[in-house]
Amino acid sequence: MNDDRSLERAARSWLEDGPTQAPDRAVEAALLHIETTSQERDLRIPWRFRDMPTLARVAAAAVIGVLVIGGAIYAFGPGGSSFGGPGSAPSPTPSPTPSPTVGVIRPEQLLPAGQYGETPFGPGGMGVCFGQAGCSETAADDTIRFMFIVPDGWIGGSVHSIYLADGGKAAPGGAGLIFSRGGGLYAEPCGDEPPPNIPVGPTVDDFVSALVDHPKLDVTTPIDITLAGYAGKYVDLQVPSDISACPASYFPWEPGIYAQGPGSRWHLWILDVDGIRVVVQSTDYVGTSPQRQAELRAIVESIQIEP
Amino acid sequence: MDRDLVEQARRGDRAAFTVLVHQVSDSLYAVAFRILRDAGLAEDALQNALILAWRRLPHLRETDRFEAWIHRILVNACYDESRRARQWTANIRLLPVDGPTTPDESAVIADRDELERMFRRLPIDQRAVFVLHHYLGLPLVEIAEMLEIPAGTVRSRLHYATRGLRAALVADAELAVQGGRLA
Repeated sequence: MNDDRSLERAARSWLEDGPTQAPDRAVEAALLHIETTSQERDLRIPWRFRDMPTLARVAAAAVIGVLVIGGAIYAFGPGGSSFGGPGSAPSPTPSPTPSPTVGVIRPEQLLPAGQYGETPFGPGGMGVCFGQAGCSETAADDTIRFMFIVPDGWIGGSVHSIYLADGGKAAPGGAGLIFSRGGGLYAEPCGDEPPPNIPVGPTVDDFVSALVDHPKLDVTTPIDITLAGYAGKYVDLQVPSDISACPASYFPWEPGIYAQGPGSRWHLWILDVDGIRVVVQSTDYVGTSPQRQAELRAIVESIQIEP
Repeated sequence: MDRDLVEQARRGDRAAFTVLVHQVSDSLYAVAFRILRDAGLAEDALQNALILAWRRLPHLRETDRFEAWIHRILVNACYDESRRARQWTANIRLLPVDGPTTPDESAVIADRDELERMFRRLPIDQRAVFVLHHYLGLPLVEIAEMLEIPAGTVRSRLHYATRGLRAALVADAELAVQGGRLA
């Protein structure tokens, strides 16, 4: 199965196998449960009360005050960093106070401001590299957990990523954050098909060297950094301003992401987490607002890592 | 789908909802199984989806969209089941005792086994789009409307799913040629 059409034909045939009837017990169990389950009421609650009593207004103001102050105190998590990263603009305080619980990112759902914890390299995550040459997948990465603070205005994406609610991931003003393990590179990022044809070893230096030495990747000189207490290297990768000629996508390494738009800027913190290479990748554009760029920087700065 | 039935169920008519359930449950279960690749998880997802659909039915504005709406609830239930399960199960399918008699039959079984194994390694949201598109035959735009996500996101997930499956199959084929196979 060397091309998409034959793969899709095989997949459709394979998908036809399997049950086509729901088990009676499952349906009956649900119907039994419904016998004692009420429906939700469809109430339309106004955003504001026209004539809010004075006492309620005072109480609301007090709550808002606590949230703002709490958010300011909780702006950055521990875990010391010599950061690297784009720009030097001061990072804004994440808005409302983070919840005492650690949230979970759900794809395509707006994220209330707060702290989130994700294990992106477990089964079905971003560490899976399907046995390709240079694959450094290991069960030991399944438990690596990233916790970070997200302000208002961000949405959960696929595979434990986040991106802007009002700019998305695409040009000209999008931004996002994703975690990966790095992997083999493509000699031609604009067009090569899997598997990747430049094997890369498992270490931080292996991946960084491969990026820097690649003749077709625009990568800055690596600098030594620490993030969340783990040492590594930082580079920027600039996606070409015109990727319209790429047959499918601009895709430098696998497993990874493809460029969400021309001119995307990839900020890469490539870390050694107890012997396992991880890549913290934020993406933005020249056109991304300074506020959102600063928020993205603050999110990365807030990262804590549990191996 | 009978709009009157949906309207009656919206207003709390359990008998009407029971009829709707029997009309859609086969399709819902088939989709859940193909996404989750596990009969037990698929049953749980189906049950949870049906219960949630009953509870939230009053919020459904367009009765014509009942099927798309309940499929979205099901897909979200599959996401929840996948998170709860989080098991990396080795999918080793035993060949029948009498086995395939021809190389062609053997190749077909091997391909399906590989598809099964590699499909299970895809993220759940990619699996969902892949199943909705290739099993239910839904166009990407319709999937986007059903799941209430951008069409670009649907394309992206399908792209990654197809790419991931192909990469896995190619890598495995190369290993087979070299004389080894992944467990």
